Amino acid sequence: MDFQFTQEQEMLRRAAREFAENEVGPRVAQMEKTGQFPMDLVRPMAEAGFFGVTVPVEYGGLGLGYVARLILLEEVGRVSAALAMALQVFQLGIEPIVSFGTDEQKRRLLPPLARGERLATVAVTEAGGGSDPSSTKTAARFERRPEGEGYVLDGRKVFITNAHLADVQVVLAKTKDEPKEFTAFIVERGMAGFKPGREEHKVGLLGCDTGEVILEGCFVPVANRLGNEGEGLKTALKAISEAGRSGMAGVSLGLLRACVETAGGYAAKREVSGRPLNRYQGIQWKLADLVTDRDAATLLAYRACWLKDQGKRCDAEMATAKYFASEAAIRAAKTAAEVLGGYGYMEEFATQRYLRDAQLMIPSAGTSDVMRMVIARSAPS
Amino acid sequence: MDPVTVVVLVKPVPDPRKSRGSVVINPEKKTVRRQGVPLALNLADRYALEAALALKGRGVTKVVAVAMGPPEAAGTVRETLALGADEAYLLSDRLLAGSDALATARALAAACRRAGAGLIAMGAESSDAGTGLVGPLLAALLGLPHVPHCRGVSVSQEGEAPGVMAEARVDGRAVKVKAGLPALLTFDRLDRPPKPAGFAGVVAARSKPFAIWSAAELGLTEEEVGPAGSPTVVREVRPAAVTRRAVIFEGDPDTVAARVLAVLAEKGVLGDGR
Repeated sequence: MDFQFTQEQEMLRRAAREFAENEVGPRVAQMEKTGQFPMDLVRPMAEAGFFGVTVPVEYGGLGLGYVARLILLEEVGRVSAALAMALQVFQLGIEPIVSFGTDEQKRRLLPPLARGERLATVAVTEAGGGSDPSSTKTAARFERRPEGEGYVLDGRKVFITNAHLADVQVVLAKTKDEPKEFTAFIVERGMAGFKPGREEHKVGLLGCDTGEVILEGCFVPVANRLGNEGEGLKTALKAISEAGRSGMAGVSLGLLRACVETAGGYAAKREVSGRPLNRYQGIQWKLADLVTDRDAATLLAYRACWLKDQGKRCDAEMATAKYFASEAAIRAAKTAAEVLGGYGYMEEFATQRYLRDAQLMIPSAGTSDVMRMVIARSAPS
Repeated sequence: MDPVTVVVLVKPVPDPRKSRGSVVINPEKKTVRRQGVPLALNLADRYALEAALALKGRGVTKVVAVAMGPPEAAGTVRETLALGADEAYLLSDRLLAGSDALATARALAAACRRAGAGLIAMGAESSDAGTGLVGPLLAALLGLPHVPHCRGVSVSQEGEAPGVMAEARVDGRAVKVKAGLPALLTFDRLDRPPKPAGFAGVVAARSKPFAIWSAAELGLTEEEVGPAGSPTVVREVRPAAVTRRAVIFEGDPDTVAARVLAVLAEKGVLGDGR
């Protein structure tokens, strides 16, 4: 057993950290103020290869795998959970095409996605539910037209990250009126009847776009059906359970790190009754809990991603990592804010942002309750 | 202009982000401890590397990074490949331990010759030792013109002889200095952060040449480098005492502002106002 990162992984971490601190850090205040995604970061992120981290080399990506992606999301999330969230979903949108796309689809779609020339997302959740896909109402009707065969999609998706930014969206729709009969489609910007809808106003993760996706008689050619008819649930769930959950674990790790550093740094400097805060046992216990949560979440998340990179089954481990890291991020944000006392709630310190951002680690890619359902299946019986 | 190889000299130094402000001084040798501490590329060297990379395709065919340090600095030196250098070499040998600025310059001179340097770029000083001597000594040993305080460089267009036009800052003023090749340029630390390496750069670094050079490979002898080749010794190291003086000006805002400006100008902190 070896808990050391390789020399190359250390280089990746330094590269990600410098990018996060030098390029992302100066934009956080503006993202907080406007709630807008910083589009001017797309190009430098693309040049750094961030969109194609897990895309195979033959399709224009770096083929680096999930551990490298986790390093990236952790480092970006340490500076901006909002940007890390946007980035993880851009990558999530690519994953179903990598896993289930035909060679033609991969050749056509992956290179521009890996280069960041086009951006991606996954659109599954509807107003009727996210954890319960059987409530999905978006329908796909097969149709022959003079221009070719395809499907006409009608429906609305909600709470879709990058809804207004993504050029390529993997959409789940019902091809039959049966509870688990779904098909996945690749919907592209420019297709008639496909447009983003309302933009959500969130409390946290400001600067990460969330909104509606509207499909009104949107004709999607057969060439853009992802996998076979009826296999959509498998397609979406694989991407969400692997890329989505490890992605959320990565963003959570970033938040955990930020909380430990902010609270630890403050407790070392702030003096109360002539002693720094970190000399008081009450504060030491909080710092100890923060460090323990950070380290436990780190080990779970890297184990899950390592398993994925080894080609081993990892669904329960991904769920464990996502469950623990996201809950730990919320605990850490609360604890860090407490260590800072009144300052913890003021805008001049980042802990108030961590509090607002951490809560969204739970519903994305499966709530904690859904994670526990997945994890329980791996328990001895 | 004939194709030019730029050698960028980089120094692995204790990582200022990870040292938490506590640099450990070896009590006997009076030098900064570098073993077992996280290392990073010296910041001023990063600007030298950036300037060298900006010349690629404009008269410069190859950028070679060269460092001197312990074997564990290999990972740090390889980062130059991720940042865009074409080749990287680490000069590492027990004979070199304890080299002062002159002995270091001798070793680096041999490395620059070996790498076929047509132009040498490096940071003006390192963040750990900070003597600022290695650059000028190296230029003297190699018989090269030295342009200090560089911030950028372009290929000189005038005349037949190959040359570079360095943008430097002398006494607070921006100047352009033309130098024939080969030449040595030393770069200051800049206010902006250096450009980070991308993941794509890290992947590209896999296939670029990297090797460790021994002293013998470069023809260096025990007399030239290490303690025997070092005419200087550090006698004492003590923390610099930083003192602050608070002055309160009173009066109407215009008068106070004028007095504050006069004091700042007298202290030389306003630069040339450009």
